[in-house]
Amino acid sequence: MAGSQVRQTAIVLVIAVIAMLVAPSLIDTYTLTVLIIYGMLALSLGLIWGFGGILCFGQAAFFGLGAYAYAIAAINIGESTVPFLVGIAVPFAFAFVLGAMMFYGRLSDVYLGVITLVVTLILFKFINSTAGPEYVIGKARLGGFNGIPGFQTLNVPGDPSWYIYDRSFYYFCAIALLVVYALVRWLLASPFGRIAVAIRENEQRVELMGYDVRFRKTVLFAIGGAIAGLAGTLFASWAEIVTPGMFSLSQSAEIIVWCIVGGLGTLTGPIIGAMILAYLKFLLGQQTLFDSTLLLGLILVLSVLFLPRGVVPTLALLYSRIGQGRRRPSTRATARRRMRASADV
Amino acid sequence: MSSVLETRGLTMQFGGVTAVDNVDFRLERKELRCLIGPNGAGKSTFFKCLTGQLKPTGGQITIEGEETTGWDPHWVARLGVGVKTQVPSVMDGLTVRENIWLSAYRTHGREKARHLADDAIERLDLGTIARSLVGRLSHGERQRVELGIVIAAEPWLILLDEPAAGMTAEEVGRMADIIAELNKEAAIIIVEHDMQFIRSIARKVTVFSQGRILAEGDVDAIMRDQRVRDVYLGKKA
Repeated sequence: MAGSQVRQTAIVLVIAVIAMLVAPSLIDTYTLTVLIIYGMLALSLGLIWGFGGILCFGQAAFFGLGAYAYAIAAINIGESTVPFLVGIAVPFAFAFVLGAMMFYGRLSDVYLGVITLVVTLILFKFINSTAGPEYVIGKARLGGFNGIPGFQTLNVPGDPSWYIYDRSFYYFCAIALLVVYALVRWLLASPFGRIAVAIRENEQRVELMGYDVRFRKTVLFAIGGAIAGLAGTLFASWAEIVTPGMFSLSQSAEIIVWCIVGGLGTLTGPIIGAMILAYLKFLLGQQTLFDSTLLLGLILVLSVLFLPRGVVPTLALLYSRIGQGRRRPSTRATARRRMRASADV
Repeated sequence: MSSVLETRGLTMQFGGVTAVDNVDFRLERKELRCLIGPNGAGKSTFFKCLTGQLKPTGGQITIEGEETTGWDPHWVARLGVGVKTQVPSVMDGLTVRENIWLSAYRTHGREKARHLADDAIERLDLGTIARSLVGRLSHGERQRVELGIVIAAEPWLILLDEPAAGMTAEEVGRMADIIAELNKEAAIIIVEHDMQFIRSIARKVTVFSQGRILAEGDVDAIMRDQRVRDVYLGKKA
């Protein structure tokens, strides 16, 4: 990582830590926890779409798979450490296989979107139809529309009776998000990340350089799946139940809206977009005057019209302009710095 | 001299259209060859078959003894083949330096890539714009960046599709010098239309017409060939 990127990452982490400590005095930790989980889910799509150019309409599939894998493993094992890892590994493996089939099959753009959407629908339909007693994995019944309740939630490794819940679970999720953010930043600054961005910019050129584009896209897609799976695992522990709704189309669409409104091509954009919009939905869900989906749709339209780059890149651009006004330079280098600042946050 | 690239009966059909028709072609080590011909003659299709961007429907391609027919572009590139496309194919959202470094990194690893990128930037006079995003550069600058991408990987076979297209006279002169310099180490195939540019760099020319090789030989002899004048320059020329 270059010096400026390390500084930028450190600033974001410091602000995030302060926000993590202050936020519980403003919003209850139960709500904050799910906002963080949604932030992580949005980050997973922000990585593969914003930096890898892979528009996945089915990120909810990995989210749901992570949650179900965790729940099923937790019922069978009775302790959360291994299920926690299973909840990340299963969506990773699933995304890897799905990605390999799509990228080695030379599918791209709209076809990729359609395939991921269809996979999510298949999973949704399948899980919904597993109510019968024959749908059992070990001791865990899949439960169909009712989902799976009553599994072991997150505990301190090695001690199933020592649950991580309430405020400690909130801090656990917040730290997990910070760690994932830092790891993703490191990944993007590494040659692998730069090649991923290069593939987004010009796939043909990267291939002519001698890089195996299909393999690299598959790996990036799988990493996105693993992060979504981690979010699903945490969600399962938060909700203490997993249901087919996690695989729903509305869930998939929401993740895309979070990324667009927050700002693609940034990491903090999708996280902040997810937190703001999910909280707004939570607040609107407490009234019956109108459907909250309408307002989310309106926000999306307004965002695309007036903030086409998203909230975070626009704020970064404004901040950079203010800084430029103070220093009064007008060189090409400053313009370049401004553009990079809005893309690197 | 030994052949580094050879095609035998290379054919590329798109439905009922035969774009490249049974082409036998041979390039010697450190040779510089220009491919010319009217629009639709099959030069670019032939070029894309060599780079792996198109899978030929018939015939055989051999590069440095390896049969590469139907290989993917990244496998062809890994043999040490550098490709510059007709429209500058660069990564707009990355800086000039990143574009060139990524190419060198694939072939030489992190440490050597830095030196190779610096070297390519200096050779192509890109130092003042090395930290600029490529998307903000002029056409001529983008052409040079793409050439930087090619040479940073130190290929021994370079395929250049219209390297002087859209450049100013000064830039064309500089490009000719760069190509002459590269030719000391690598064999080069150039697809080009600019006859003045071709005369300034090439000794041997291959003329394509209707997917076939019409003539091949010394540049001056080719220019005097009546068949070439008929198909390429027009019958009245």
